[in-house]
Amino acid sequence: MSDPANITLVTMDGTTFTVPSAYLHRSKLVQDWLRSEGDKQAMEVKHVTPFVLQGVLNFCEIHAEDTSEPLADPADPTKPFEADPRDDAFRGMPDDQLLQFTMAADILQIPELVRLTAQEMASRIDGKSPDQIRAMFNPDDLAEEDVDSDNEMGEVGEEGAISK
Amino acid sequence: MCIYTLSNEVLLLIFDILYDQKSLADCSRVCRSWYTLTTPLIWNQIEIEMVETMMTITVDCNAIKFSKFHEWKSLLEFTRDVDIKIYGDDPQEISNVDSILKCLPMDELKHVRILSEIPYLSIYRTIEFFFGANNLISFNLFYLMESPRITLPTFSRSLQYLRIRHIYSTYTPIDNFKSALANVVPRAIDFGYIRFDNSSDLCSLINDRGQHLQSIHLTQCRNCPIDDLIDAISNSCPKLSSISITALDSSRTNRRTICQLIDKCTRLTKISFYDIGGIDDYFLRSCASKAYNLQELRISSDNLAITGDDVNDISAFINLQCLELEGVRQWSKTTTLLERLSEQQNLQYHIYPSINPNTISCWTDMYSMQLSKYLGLIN
Repeated sequence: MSDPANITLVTMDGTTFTVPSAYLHRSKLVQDWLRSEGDKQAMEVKHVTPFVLQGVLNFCEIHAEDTSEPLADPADPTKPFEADPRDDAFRGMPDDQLLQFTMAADILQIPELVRLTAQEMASRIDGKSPDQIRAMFNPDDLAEEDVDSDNEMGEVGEEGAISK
Repeated sequence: MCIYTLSNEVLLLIFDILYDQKSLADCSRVCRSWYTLTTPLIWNQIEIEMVETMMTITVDCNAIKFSKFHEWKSLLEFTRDVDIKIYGDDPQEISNVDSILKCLPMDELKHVRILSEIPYLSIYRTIEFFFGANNLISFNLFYLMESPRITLPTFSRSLQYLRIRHIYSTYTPIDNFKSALANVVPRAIDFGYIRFDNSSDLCSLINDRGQHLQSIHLTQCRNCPIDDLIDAISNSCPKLSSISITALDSSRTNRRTICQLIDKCTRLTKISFYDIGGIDDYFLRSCASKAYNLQELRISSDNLAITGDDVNDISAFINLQCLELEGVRQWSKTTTLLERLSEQQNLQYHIYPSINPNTISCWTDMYSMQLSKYLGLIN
């Protein structure tokens, strides 16, 4: 099957994006979709807002010409993470946007972007208390179960105090 | 949208990047699902410390009471990396350590480090616990008290890093050196104060399975003839990048053997020879003209036959950052070498004369020369 020149993506609210297929050669989801049978009109990317998809596509466009071997696994320890100045936009964004980009990268299965966003998430979590972490990422959404477990964990924490 | 909607794969990747145990412990308290995800990572490494009246099991950032052992026992199954430090010999604590060691998943363990100050019986018992560990990557054993003999676990092919070091004491024989290491293809070995039963033990290990060896560190080992050893290393270790040898017995090498090391092990970046006799100008010249990857060269002996008299070619010292020659017999003749070295940028060099009553006068020369150099009297 020959690859089409352009791919159309549809976000959650019906906005469409048409980009050259070369941009998305690192997205495993898109590659799987291209290989699959059936209608190739447009690919639905649910759970992703137009703003986020635009950002992801910008990332893909910047890296479309990269000659480096595509990452098979974002957690590959043999390939150390190297910060790329072209990705600085991802480092300055607010927490909730970063979270949405992380999810979008995971949904589209772009290992390079997953690694970039996870790296940024980790550096923001690093050194924060559990409360601060919760506050960073939408405290309102905290499920009841999570509040319960917090108390439970609190006890474990006391146990964890230095023994004599 | 909140952080709990991220997939487990991504969360695990984030925790993996964190890997700082304090941060992981904080994450484990954010919510229940994070607790489940981080627990194996937190318990991945445990540290057991036993002092005379106190035993602490440090699981990274939390010290946990042994009295609650039944509560956290099951978490030990996540352990891959064990660090045991034993400073006391309280029988109760020894039995506590035993209970912990018994719960470790031996087949899954990757790294073991044991540091012990206690007498023979206990160190022997501690090693014995790891006899079933078949997938170890590294095994480190430091001990201070005297041991008549040591029996090692039979290591599998997965072992890459092996260190057995008795610190500052008598030489320990290893019961089963040959059979314990029969399958090992090591990357790095480090032995200190070991007596080999057979003088060919170490050489045959290097000859047969030294093809991946990158680092060799030997301190005060007995029954390990240096010429045979260096011969084996030169012929079998093409990947060697670091070698450090201190005072083996019969530690006088011949010029041909040691120069052969430079010719054959071209990847060497670090060479340290302490108290090895027979190193002379030929060796230095050989290094200076051929060892292009060398970054550190340290040679120290009571009586080095190095004069540096006609070391004119130091073209291979292009990457050299540190040069130490200690115990130079004819110090006053090293001017040629010093001149050459001073032309080299980014190089720290220290050249000291031999501490020998007969040559003590050269100390004065050295200081006057250093002083004049400092004052800019010598260009």
